[in-house]
Amino acid sequence: MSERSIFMEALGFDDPREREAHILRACGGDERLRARVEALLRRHQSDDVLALDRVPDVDLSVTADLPPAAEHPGTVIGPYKLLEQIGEGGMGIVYMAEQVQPIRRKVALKIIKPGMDTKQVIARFEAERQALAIMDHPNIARVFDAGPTESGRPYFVMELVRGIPITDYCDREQLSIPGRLGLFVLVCQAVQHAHQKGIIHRDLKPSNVLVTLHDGVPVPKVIDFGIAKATGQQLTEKTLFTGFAQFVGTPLYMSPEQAEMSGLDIDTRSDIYSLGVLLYELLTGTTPFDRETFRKAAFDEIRRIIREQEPPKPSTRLSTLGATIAAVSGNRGSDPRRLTHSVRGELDWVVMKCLEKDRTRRYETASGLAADVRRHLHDEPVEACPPSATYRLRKLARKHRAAMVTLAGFAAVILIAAIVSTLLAIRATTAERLASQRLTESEKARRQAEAVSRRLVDIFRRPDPSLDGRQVKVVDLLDQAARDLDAEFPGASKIKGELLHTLGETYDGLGLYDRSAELLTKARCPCGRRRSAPTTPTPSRA
Amino acid sequence: MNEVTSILSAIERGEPQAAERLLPLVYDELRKLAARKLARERPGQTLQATALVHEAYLQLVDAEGRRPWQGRGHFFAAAAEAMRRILIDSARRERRPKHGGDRHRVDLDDAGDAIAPQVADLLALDEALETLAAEDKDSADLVKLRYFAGLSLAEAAEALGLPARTAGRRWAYARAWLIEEMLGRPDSGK
Repeated sequence: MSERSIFMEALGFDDPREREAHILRACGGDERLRARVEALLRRHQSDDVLALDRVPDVDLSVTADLPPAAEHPGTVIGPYKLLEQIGEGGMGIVYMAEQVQPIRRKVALKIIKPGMDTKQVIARFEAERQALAIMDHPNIARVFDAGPTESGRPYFVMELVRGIPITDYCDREQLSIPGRLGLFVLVCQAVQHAHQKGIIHRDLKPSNVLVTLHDGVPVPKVIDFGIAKATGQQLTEKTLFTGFAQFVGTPLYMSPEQAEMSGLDIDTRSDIYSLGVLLYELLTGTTPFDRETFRKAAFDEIRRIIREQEPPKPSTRLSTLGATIAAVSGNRGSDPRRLTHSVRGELDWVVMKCLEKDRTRRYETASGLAADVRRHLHDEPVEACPPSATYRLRKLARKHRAAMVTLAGFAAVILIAAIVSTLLAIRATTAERLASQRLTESEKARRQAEAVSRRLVDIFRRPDPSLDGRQVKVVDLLDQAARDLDAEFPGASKIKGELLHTLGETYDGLGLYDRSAELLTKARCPCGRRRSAPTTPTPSRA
Repeated sequence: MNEVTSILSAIERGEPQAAERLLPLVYDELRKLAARKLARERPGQTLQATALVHEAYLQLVDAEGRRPWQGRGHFFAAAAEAMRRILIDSARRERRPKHGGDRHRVDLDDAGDAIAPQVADLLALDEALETLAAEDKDSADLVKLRYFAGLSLAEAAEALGLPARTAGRRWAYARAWLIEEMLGRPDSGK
C-alpha cells in the first residue's frame, strides 16, 4: 500500500491504538514507511497545516504591475525592438523585430505567451529553439539568438522569412507541374536534413512552408518546428512531457499513426505522409480528405477517417472536381485534360506511396521521395508503383486497348480479377453486417453481387455460337458489363456503387478516361441522375 | 456559445491542446478583474483569490451563475493554474532577500506565536507543490483547486469527480505532505 492510502485509511480510526495497529499492519514491517506515515499524521494533527486552509489574498497593486498579456509593437527586448505581430501559435507569439546590434536587420522573434510558462511548455519551447539551432540548411529557417525577457519569459530569434505559403505562391505564379515539383524537391531536401539531425517536424503543412524570393529566385523555407520531436537525442534537460492525448499536428495533414494517438512511436515517416499531402495539394488544389468534411466532423470521426478511409488518387480527384477544375488547371498553367493526363500514373503513385496507411510501405526517406520526383521530371522510371498485379495488367491493357483479343485472353483475367476483389470487399462488409441481425438484407446483397459476377463471367465462358472463335474488343466486354449492371441493379445501392467503381477503374486502366469518369461519378451517385460530366474531351479511340 | 464555453466543450470531448487555449484566456480575465477592482478600491487593498476566480467564472462562462456546467472542473483547474501564476509572479516581484536566500526551508516556528495566515514564502510552497505533483498529481491538483482557486472541499470534490470523504482525506494528506516538505526533510529525523 502506498503512503497516501495508509494515511487516508488511518484517518478512519478514532481510537489511537486501533489506528496505530492499522498502520503497523499496513506497513508490513517497512520501518521507513511507518515512520513517514506517523510523521505525516503528526503534522496533520498540528496547527501547522492550518496555514493552507486560508486562501491567499491577492495584493491588487502588485497584480496591476504584472506584465500585460502581450508585448506590443515598440517593446524592446535586448537588442531587438518589436515592430509588429506576425503570427501566433499555441505556445508563443511571433513578432517581426528589428535588430540593432551587432548588425542591423529585421528578424522574427518568438516569445512564449504569458501564463504559458509552465515547465512543460517552457521545455517544449526550448526544444523548438534547440531543434532549429542544430540545423543549417538553406531551406530551413535559422535561429540566431535566445534569452529571457525582463519578466523571465523565454524568447528566441529566427531568420525572418518574408514569404507566403507554398500552395499560395504556386497558384499566384500559375506554376506548372514541373515548376511545383522543383520547389517540392527542395522542401524534401530540407526535411531530409532535419531528419538526419534527428528532428521530426510533425506539423508539415503549406503554412509552414513559406516561399520567399532571393534575387527573383523562389526559395522555400520550412518554419515552425514548434512541435518538433527529437529522435534519440536529448534536446533539453527538462522532461519533454507532452501530456496525455497529444494532438500535435493539423488534422488535414496528419498521418494515420499520429491520428491514432496510441503512443506508438512517431518517426520520420510521419513527415513523409505530410509531404505526400502537400504534394497532393500542389497537384490538385485539394487535400486528400475533404476540408469541409473535417470541419464538420467530430474529433473521433476525423481520427477514424484518417486511419481508415482511402483517399482518391490525385488524378481521380481531378476528374471528379466538376466545375472547379478550370480554376485548378489554370493555376497550373494548363487545361483540365492535360493536367489530368500529366498527373495520372507516376505522380499518382508517388503521392499514394507517401499516403500509405502502413508506414512501412511509404518512402523510407525524404530524399528517396525527392529522388523519385526528380526521376519523374527527367522522364526516368519511378520506383513507386501501385500493387503489382493490377499495375501490370493495366499497363498491358492500355497497350492493347484497341487490339482484338480472344475471349480466353487476359481481358477476362482483368475483369474477373476486378470482380473477385469487389466480391471479397463486399463479403468483408457483409461479414461485418452479419454481426448485427440484418441477415436477410446482407444475404440478398451477396447473392445479387454473385449473380452479377456470374453473369459477367458467363460472357467469357459461355459457348456462344455467335461469339465462338470470334475476337471481341475488350471495351465491348466492358460496355456489356456496364449495361448488365444497370439491368441487374435498377435502383441505387452500395453494391452497385462498388461495382460501378470497379468498372470505372478498369476503363481508367484502359485509357478510356471519359467513360471512366462517367462511371466513377455515377458510382458516387448511382441513382440514375447524372451529374454534369467533367469537361474532358474524349481521347480518340483509335 | 462564447469562446470559453466552446473551449470547455472541446476539452470535454477530449480535444487536447484545447486546455492550453483556456489558460491564457482565464489568466487575462483574472488580471483584468484585478485591475478593475484596483481602480475602484483604495490603494493597498487586497482581495481574496476565491472572489476573483468566482467572478472570472461568472464573466467568462455563466453570467447568471445558475447553469451547472459540465466542464466547470476544467475551468477551475485552469483558473487555479492562472491564479497560481499570478500569485507566484507577484511574490517574485516583491521578494526581498530574506531567509538568507534559502527557499527550501521556512522556519515558521521562529516566526513567533501564530503562523501567519498566509504562508510566509509562497515560493517555497510552489516548489513543494511541484515536487508533490511529480509524485502524486491527483493530490497536487486538489491542492491547486482549493488553495489557488479557493474552491470549498465540496466544490473541489465535485470538480474532480471524487466522493466527498475521499476528497477530504486526500486534502488532509496533501496538506500534511506539503507542510512536512516545507518544514523539514522527511529524512532529517525531525
